[in-house]
Amino acid sequence: MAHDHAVAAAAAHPASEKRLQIERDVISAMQRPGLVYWGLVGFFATVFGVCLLGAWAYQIYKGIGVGGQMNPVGWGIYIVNFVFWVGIAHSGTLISAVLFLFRSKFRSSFNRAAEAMTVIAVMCAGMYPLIHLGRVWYAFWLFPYPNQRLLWTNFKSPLEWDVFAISTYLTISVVFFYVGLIPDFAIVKRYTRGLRRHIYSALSLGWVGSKQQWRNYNMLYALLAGFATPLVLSVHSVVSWDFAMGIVPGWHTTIFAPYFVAGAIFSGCGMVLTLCIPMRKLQKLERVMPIDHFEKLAKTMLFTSMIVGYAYTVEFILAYYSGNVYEFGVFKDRAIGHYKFAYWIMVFCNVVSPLALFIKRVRRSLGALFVISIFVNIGMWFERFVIIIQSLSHEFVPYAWGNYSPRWPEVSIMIGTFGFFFMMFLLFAKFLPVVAITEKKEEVH
Amino acid sequence: MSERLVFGSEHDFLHKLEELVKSGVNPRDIEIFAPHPVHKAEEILEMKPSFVRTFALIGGLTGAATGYLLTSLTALDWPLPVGNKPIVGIPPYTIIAFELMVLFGGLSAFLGFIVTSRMPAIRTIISQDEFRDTFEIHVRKG
Amino acid sequence: MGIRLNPMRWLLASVIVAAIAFGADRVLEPAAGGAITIAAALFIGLAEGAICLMAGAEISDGHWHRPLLPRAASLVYVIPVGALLFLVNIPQLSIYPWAEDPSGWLSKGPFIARHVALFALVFAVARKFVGEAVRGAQRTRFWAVIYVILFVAHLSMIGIEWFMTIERPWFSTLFGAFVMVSAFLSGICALSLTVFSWRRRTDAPSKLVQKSLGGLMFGFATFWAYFYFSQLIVIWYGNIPEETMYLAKRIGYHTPYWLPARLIFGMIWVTPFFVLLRRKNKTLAPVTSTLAVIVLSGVTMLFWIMLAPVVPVSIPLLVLLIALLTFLTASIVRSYDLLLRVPAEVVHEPAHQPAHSH
Repeated sequence: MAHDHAVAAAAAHPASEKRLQIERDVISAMQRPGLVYWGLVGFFATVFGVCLLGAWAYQIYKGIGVGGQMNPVGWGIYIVNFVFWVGIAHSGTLISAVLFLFRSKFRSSFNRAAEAMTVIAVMCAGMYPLIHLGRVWYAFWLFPYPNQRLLWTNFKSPLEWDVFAISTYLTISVVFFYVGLIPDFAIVKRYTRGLRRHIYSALSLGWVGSKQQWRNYNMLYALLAGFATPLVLSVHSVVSWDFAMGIVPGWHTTIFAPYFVAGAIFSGCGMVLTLCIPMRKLQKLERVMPIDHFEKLAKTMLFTSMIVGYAYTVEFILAYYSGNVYEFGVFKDRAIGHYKFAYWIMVFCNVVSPLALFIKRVRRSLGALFVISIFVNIGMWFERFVIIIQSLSHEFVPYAWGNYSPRWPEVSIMIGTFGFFFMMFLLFAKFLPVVAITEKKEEVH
Repeated sequence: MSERLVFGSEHDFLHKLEELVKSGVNPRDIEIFAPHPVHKAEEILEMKPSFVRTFALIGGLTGAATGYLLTSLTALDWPLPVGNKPIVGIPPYTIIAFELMVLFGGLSAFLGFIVTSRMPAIRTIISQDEFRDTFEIHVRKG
Repeated sequence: MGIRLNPMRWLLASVIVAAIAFGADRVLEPAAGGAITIAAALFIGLAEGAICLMAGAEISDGHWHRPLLPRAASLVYVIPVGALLFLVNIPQLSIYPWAEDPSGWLSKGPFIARHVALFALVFAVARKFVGEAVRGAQRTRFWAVIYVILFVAHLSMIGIEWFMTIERPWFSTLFGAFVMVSAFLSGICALSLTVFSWRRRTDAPSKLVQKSLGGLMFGFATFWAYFYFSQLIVIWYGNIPEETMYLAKRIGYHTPYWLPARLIFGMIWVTPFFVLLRRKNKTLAPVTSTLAVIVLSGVTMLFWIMLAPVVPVSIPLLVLLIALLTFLTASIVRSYDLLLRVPAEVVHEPAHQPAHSH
């Protein structure tokens, strides 16, 4: 009895009130979903099923030739999409892990949604090498397993490095995501009944917040953040080296690794903004996601946009400086050749439009941020398009030049992937707490 | 027999904890529960750094070693000369070793956490003890 | 270490150092080669890098760096010294292949003009930024952003034009950024060394500064290694003769540089990484100071090895210049109050109070 009085007295403390308000705000976003929600999930699931799975099944049935890729552009928008989704995934890890190491305060509004975005985006990215393989049933040959068919992986190939890098990234991202959720699952458990309660209880692994648990948890979280940070750098560097290891002009350049990493963070910030701005409004999370935090994210986006702009400039200038006909030829063709529309969209969206973020009013206007983030998503997709497809279309020998356009199965699969992404994100938003409750509580004093 | 104290604010909780430790209570007899990590509490209770990082270190070293050994030894056993690269190329094998270091390190750290925290705590899951929002100090007496 | 300098003495000291450099260079010519280039690039890099770190901290609303600000700010007065050294090095521009065979951009006149202009611009903006930062003025962040952009541009230009063009037409798109990151790391190391001037402090802000610098050294040494590896692997893998000859000349076992090349990597990354893995080591000033000296030596060797296979570099002159410049830099740091015209201990009470106290 006395204990219950003590609990009630403790709960009445203003700090406790604030913490419980955070819980209520976030958990109210997980209420029983209505028809509109299920309608949206159904819509995206249909898009996923029909556009992605359907077209992929068609491709498996008819063969990889139904895609538009052929000589000289052997890598088409499957690879563009692969790099696009891996890039988006990286920003989630940056916000989660890297900002944790820097003790940034604006991290706590986004890190849960960003981690979810990472996991889902890596799943989307991981599909593409399989789709691009054509004979997807042989995909297991990519892994070094002892076998009787005289197969061994070529560890010196960047495509094999990709296998290790993406597998590691998916695993560590899922672990990191899950670990962050353990205390929050225990909180959600309190607000649920019946089967849902048992599920959340099991998922929380019996977390009660004792001193032993917190001590080990803090160390684990710091270690995972410490591991995830070089992972952000290394995985997208490995993806960039898929291109840089080749001698294709426009691909074989040393700046690719940091350039791609900066670009990944840039595109990921764009996607986080695209997802979180509507989410904040629709789930009424204004209290837990203040505009200050969006402004900081916008500044990060501006910073990485400038790094990307630096890379564009240096590549172009040094291509001219080199006196190498092929190198400079590729860059000239980018600006004035067959794919110039893609190039100038890329330059406008990635370099010009984020300049608006120098203005404070733009940074603090969620509408403007949303628009710019959409531009960034589009621009970064076109950047990968330009790098991959235009470079391949304009290599050394003029007789071997040729253009590429995507065919309907490729476009369909791309649309289907977006369907998958949004479907999974909607499911995340309803069944998991979209803001890291425990971390938000730490900020209450 | 144990004394249970409940607090709504971190400040009161830390104050009382410090008081208890100063008054001579053995930190090992004190169990605390908190809704979010409180680093000061770990200092007051003189807790040793967690063992999880040893798991991570061993895992990471194993991963790096596995990366280099798997690639180099299999390449030496069955040389596949490709692209005028040396049979054992250190730069590419470094990448594989690095990725495996991170993978094994991260998974070992997680395993270490599970083991040292004795989770999943089946008893807690079944008994439905709750992770409350309050700060609590439980002092074991006698 | 160092003597106290007011602005007049600083000017005099700079001119004396430049004169010694010029004299020694002319005496040793042609063996002197790139010695002045290396020394100038090292000190400009570390000064601008240190100020860039302060700018970065200001932009991200850090508070840990405030005790460091006055001494870091004083490093802005190393930039004109670097500019003077660049000017006295003009006779040595003949080491570059484009001196005999100029193009529109790469010819002596435009080269000198644009670098002088860059020095002037960077110095002006840096001086403005540090002035605002030390006073805790409102416009600090604005000038910090401008400065960072100029730092990136300036160090990239130094990397590309002073070091990369020596092997024209070989190029690496990451080269400019690689030199810039080396400079930033040098800046962190330089700031670790300034801790010597208030080593006896054991208050909380100093501990925080020390811990932050240790962590930054660890992180950016690894970041540097990432850039080093990125360049290496692309060139190694592509195996294109026009590209590999640059690396082969510098790291191949058949060259006299095979050992320095490996030492460079060992000094700039391996040593700081494994020493600073232990959390305690990051907080010990003697450890980070020693590591700072090792890293700075490594960066010097790095700049040296970029030039040495192609042009003669007089080691005695290089050592002399580094000694003189170290003494001058230490004096500048010691005289921060006279040079910046701020009270001697504007360390813990900057005018600008943080809006949220944490």
